[in-house]
Amino acid sequence: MSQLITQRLSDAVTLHTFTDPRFKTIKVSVNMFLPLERSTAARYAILPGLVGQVTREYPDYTSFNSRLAQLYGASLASRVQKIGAFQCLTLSAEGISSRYALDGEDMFAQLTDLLFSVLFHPLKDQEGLFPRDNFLQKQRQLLEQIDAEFNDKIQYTHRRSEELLFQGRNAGLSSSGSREDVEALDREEVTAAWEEMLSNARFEIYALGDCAPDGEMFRDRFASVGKPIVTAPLAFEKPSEIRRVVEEQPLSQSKLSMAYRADYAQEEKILFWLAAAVLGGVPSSKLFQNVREKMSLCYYCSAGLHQNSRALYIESGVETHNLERAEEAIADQLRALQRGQLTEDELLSAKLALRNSLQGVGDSLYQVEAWGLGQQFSGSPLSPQQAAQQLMTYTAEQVVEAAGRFYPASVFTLKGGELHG
Amino acid sequence: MAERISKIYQSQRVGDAYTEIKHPSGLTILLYPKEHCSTAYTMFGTRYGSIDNCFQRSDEPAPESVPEGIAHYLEHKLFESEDGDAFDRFAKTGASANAFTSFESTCYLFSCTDNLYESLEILLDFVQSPYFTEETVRKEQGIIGQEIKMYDDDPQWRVMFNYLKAMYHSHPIQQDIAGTVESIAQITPELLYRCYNTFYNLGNMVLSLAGSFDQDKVLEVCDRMLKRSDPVTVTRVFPPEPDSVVKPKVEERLSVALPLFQFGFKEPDASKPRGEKDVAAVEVLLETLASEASPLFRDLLERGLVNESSFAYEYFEGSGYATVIFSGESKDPEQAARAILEEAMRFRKEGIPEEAFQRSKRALYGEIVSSLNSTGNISNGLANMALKGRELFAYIDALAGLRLEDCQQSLDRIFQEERSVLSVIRPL
Repeated sequence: MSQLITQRLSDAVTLHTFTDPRFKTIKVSVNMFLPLERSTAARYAILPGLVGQVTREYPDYTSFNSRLAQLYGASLASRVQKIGAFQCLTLSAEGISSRYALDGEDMFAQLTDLLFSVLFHPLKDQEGLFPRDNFLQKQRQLLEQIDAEFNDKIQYTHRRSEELLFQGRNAGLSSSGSREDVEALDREEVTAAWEEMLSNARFEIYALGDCAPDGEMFRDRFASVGKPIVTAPLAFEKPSEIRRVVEEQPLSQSKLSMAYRADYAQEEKILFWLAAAVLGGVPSSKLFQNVREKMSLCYYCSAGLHQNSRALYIESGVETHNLERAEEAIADQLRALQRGQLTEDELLSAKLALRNSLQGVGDSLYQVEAWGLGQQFSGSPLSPQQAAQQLMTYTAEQVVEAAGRFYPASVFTLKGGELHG
Repeated sequence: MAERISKIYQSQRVGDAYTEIKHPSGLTILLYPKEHCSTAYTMFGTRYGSIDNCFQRSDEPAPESVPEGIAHYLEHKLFESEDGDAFDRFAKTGASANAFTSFESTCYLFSCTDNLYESLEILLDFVQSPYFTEETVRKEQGIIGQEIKMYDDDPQWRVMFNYLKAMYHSHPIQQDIAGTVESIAQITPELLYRCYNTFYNLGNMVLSLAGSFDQDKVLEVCDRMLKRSDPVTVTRVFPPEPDSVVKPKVEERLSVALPLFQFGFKEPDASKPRGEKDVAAVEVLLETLASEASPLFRDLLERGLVNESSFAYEYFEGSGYATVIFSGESKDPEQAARAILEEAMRFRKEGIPEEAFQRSKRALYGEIVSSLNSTGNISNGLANMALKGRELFAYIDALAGLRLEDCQQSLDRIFQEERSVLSVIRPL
């Protein structure tokens, strides 16, 4: 089994490699962490998609994508996500490994060339700005992406719940910035933001799959970028009240999102992950078995811990006339757990399910990176194997005690009408 | 017990091989070794989906009909047995189990990193042990009714089914997979047993496994657990479906911020079986016409008619139906559909560009190679192809051997304006 190897290239840049010829692909990702702030969120959010759509050598959209298609359908992807109260901007190149290239291309070299080209020499016009058409195109698409969140009611409910939980604070901001801030962007500030971002972000680079990355090559390339900022999970704050918002929409099914803050030290994060799983993270969990199966109160009902936000969300799809009963039933299940109602069977089932997912992390390049990134962010990284070992040691008493440290903070309800009987 | 018959499929191109075993019970078993993977992924599927509401058994004189949504209902109920729930049994092995019903198949699956053979035994046991009572069947109506309502609010789902209803006059592809609240109220234990005994015949089923495993141990579990099926076969019965569409346009208003659309063409004579090459030809054609490297996509973007995160295309085909579909969010779905149609007509008139065709073949080859990293993709792909009478490596070879004329023929046959449908969801 391959291991993720971490190499510090500078105070601000780290390279993580996970190489294994059993994969048929290569993935190289550059992740850039920056504090999530209202004043900068929108202009950073537009950047990965804007710089990642063309290069100087392939300066228009079609020629660039033709090049990717020629490289056996390789992709140059961009992503913006929120972890804790930080924005993480990602540019990644992915494609098949050289072993399967029909014309013998060095795929790692080709992919990294494209990636470095967009990172270090993004296409600019004669005024030294990102081309106007490209900027307007990405701005429109970012606005449409924000609008589209409203179309998916599960995603929309989660977003609104998160906003309510962290009301007025940076952790409650959208990773894309607000609609108004995106609309107000201009080319000059966005072009300047790219240089600012290269200087101010912390870089976490991943080179994964069937390749042999040269650490020195990465060190040279990334020698003059980045800032050694410290990322860490949000601090716990005990909620002083339970905030509630009900929004009405003409829907067949209502959605309920109950948010809790979780009070734990970093070394207890796996214990709290287990407590969330016992409550509602696996099919044997209390919420699935009781609220969905026995009481038939919702079609889905699950609990998920956001480790780097110290937040637990319990989300469900409920018939409107059952909203109150469902909320009460969910709270009852947590209270039961807090009172010690946890069998050895329930505990073991949750442990085995989580261990199963941890042991499978190394089978997917995407999961290797996602796991590593979350762990690096926390400042106290564990390998999936270490997490699995820790997980299996916890007792029912420890899980019950941990469940006592989930504090109700907010409830967001998307209330539908009884449109279809 | 009769002999097992084995056949090995190998692909030089992707450097992999797998074994197909015809088990004496009637089951087709597909075993794809991925030696260094920790995760094994297993799928047990039957050629039975939401379109199978009318069927003819080989031992009966006439076809019979059942309520819409029954295949999906059966999938939910099969997890229960007299001794409890299959999820409870999987919980003891740590495997992550699930199931789904599609238009044409019902599949039960698990992935695991430990206890493979124990989990396989559970899978084979619960799928072969139906247990339906009046009480348990009634109880499920509440849960499935809620599932139906959840999909009522899903604009992606609505835009799809509105499209299919506007395209197909009588083929059951237009019916919701879960049925309706009214149709599921007609489901009884007797009907469930009837469908189970018809479609869960092992001769109508496939087991696929990808991962690190000992083939002898897998087959030992299969020999022990599989119950030999009667030699009954089943034929799908569909009402006649004309090549024309019902109506060219359909619209609905829902709680969305941005309109969604689905636009496409109904393939004529869709009851004719399609092989690996037919499917590859249409997929390469779509890639050439509408991928991110195409002039069409750039034109759509520049005119602000689609966005990169939602625009998609697919060849959606199966027993008695086939259509190419373009979909996404758009401020002006009519203009987007017009642009797609015009580009297809230009291709018909001027011919498919050779360079773009070759590039599309390479891109699809790369996608397939990439998908073979994952045991989940492999197991899913093998089972789905086998249930449609196709084979994975034959598909890869067909793709490599494809000629421009093959795509041109598909283009001329499928892209006819009078057989197009536009489905739109607009904000309230």
